[in-house]
Amino acid sequence: MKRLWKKILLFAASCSTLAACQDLDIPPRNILSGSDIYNEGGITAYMAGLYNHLPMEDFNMGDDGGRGGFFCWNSEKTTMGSTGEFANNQMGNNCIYGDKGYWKPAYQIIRQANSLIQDLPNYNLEGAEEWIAEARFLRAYTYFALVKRYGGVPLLTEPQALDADLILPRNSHQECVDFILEDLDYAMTHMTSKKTNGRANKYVAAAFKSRVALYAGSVARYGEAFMYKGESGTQLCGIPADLANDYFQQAYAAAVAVDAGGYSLHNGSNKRQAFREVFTKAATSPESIFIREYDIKNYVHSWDRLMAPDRMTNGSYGGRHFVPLDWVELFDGLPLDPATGHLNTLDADGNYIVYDNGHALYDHAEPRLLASIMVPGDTYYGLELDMRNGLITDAGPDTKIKKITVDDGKTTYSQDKILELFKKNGVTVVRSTKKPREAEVYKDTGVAINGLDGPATSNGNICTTGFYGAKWMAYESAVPALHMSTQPWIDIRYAEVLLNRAEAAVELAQNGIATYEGTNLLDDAMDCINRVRERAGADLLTSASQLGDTSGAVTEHHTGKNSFVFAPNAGLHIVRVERYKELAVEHKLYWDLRRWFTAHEQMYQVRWRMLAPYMFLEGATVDQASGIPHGKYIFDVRTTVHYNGQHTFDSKYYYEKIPDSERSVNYLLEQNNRY
Amino acid sequence: MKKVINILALFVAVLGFTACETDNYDAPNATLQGRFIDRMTGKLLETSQGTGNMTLRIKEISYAHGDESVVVKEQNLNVMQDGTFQNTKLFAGTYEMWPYESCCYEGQQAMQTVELRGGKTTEIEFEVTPFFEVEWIGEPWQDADGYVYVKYKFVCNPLPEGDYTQAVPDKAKLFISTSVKVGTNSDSRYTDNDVNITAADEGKELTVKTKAPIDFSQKFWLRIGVKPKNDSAHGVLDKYCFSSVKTIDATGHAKQ
Repeated sequence: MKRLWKKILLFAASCSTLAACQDLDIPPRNILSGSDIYNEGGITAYMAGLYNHLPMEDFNMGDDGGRGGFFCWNSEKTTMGSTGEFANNQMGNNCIYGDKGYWKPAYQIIRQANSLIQDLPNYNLEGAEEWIAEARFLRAYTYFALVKRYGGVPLLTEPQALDADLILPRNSHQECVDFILEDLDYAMTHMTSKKTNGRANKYVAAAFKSRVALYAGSVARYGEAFMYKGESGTQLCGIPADLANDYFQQAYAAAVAVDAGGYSLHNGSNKRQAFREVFTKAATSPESIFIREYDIKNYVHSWDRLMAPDRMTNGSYGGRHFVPLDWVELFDGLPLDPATGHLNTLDADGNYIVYDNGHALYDHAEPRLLASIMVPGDTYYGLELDMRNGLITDAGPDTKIKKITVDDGKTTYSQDKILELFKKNGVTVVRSTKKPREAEVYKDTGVAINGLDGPATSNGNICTTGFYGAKWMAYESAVPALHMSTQPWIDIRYAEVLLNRAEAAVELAQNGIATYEGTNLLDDAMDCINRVRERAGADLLTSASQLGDTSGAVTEHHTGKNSFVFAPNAGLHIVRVERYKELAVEHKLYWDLRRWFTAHEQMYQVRWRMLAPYMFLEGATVDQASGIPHGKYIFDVRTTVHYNGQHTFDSKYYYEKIPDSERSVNYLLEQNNRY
Repeated sequence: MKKVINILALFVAVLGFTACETDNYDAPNATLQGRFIDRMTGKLLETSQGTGNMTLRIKEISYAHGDESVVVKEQNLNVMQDGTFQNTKLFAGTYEMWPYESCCYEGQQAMQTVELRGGKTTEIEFEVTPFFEVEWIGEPWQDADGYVYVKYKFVCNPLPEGDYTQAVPDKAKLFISTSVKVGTNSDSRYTDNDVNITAADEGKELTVKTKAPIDFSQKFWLRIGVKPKNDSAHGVLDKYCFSSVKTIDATGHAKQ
């Protein structure tokens, strides 16, 4: 009883301490007011937040719906798998459209940018104009991420108030593009010219403008069949064709304006090394225009852990970056069959050429290719790359072996069928059914049957195309763990600006505008392309008239050199192939195919093709340190069997589906066609 | 004592899940049945199973009671291979219905407003004009190497009355399958890529074969599809117009 009283007293006493004499009316300390933000430090922090959320398709671009595919560490499934620049077994045959309903986070950034643009003039702050221009750049950047996905979207130019009518219709596609371009024009005039990594300046705005205007010009010129007016009569998707030249001129002028920023191609006497360093030295290279930096404490990615060959990650992730042969064949210095554009590894009699080693095929290849793929015999992540599909056990390198497969881009062969066909042509080939990294050896010879890195004869994340990609990878040291990669992403680099400029120039020259402010556009386009090619170690264009050639549309695969890339004429084909080679695995080509409106034709019933190396057991020697055998090789070229279906781009994805969740809260928001 | 507390806690927790009102919305129990009729032949439309080649799109208009600020999303229903459809679990109400993403000219132009009533079956029929009629010529056959061949022809259907754009024939394909449900799904071992065709091929006798010789003796179901160049801005989608289904008892040619 006594204890109960004690408790009641204690309770009453403690309650009394919660009372106060004063009403609580001090401003809450966890809510920022205008004066907290609109000072030098405040705006810097505010702006950093906007940059952090900027929809940049960087390493952390995946197929996860949470934030529209952005900020997703698992980047194994991306739109890069829909173009021929990139393949892996996680994506298989599917075209990845990246249609993850990116919407809400965009309007959050736009709102924050709008608030700043609206409020900042009320505070007497030094340099306010530059901040406003920067906010307008970020707003334009974000709107472009929406517009290239959906066409026209609702344009919000000021922050909506709490009591505002939130029901808004979409603006037309053209209005949106013009709005973005206007923001970028403002940014080009009023932003700082100071270069800071990770941050935009007036030249970044110009470079970005060349991208946006090029996109708009292409949509106007090629998107007619996919135009769509909603019930409201607004031109939601598509831009009138007669505006194409106007946009191409804007693209051209903006690209030229970037030059004043002093950017240049990262060059070097060792061409392969030079192209490699564009990415490894992104933070200091004169070529980087707009980059995103990573930091182990703040923002990281997992590119190396995901993309390195399976053996080099010891099977923990890895093996998600293969390159289809069709892309490799775009490069100079490889033996090609001129009729098909396919790699030719046969002599005049149709027998396999015997190469002295596993990398001799690449001896004269364009350096840019060698910096973009992993080459057998070279060292990556501390290990020598070893690629081999099987071992020829009962015949020496002098044996003539007739080609076993038909390389038509559609006929596939099972691994056992391959052995059967070799047998039919007089030689015995063995293959390993174990994982390549387990290095199963042939009898007591000590020679690994399969390349330690594939191409695969088993499932899992083993290379199926015969090539691993190398772009972006920090392979000078061991593979970092998941979430431990920090090399920077380059969103805009000078090479892209040069190619934007060249493309705009060719589009103009082929459509009645030969000069721009006294410059001959075809000559200038040739110069731009040759600068890119020169750095890459590729063959140079010899005459500007090649770019003016409006004959010779490329609309069918397997019909000649570079026929993997489609184009309406020979001149534009040169430009488009150059983009394919230079800008692969940079989240550019998918959007190119969409703005050229060739995706549904170029990516139609496409199966990736592969390079399958076979080594002669006779004469092979094993490197004792690495366990890797070296010997003479033949190479078979064929359709890869591992993807049983085909890649087909569905044309409705030229414009993506507006998220239903947004339509249900905004009844004026019209859906795109075919959804 | 502890047990009693647990029981009490459980009691309270269960109480938390109760509500004062029962769910008063009727379960979906209206049935919709119907068919697409090829206007040119008067027969059922040949299409593909599921939603791959066309769908029936429906939108309930009674739900919003005329309030345009209420957004009602469309639903896409499956269509059977023979152009019929059935759905037994729809909510009662008034719907707009039309053929969607199809191999026919008519889309929203063919819209019908239909009232579905709970527990009742409603039948509807759409007359549609496929872009092309695809007809067999003779029976499929196999050559000495084991490839299966078929002969066919196609004709471009005249445009229905109204604002339509002529479809331009672009591609044809022989679909072959080990199941009767042959359509956009087929056996990838034998189904070749599309062959290119043009308007000049209309009415001509055309031949197409399988991608590879047949490996093992078995029965196959075959169908030919012809599709136009995509022009979605003018309502022409690159969807296959199918022939009827034929079969062949193929002989295997796999080397033993």
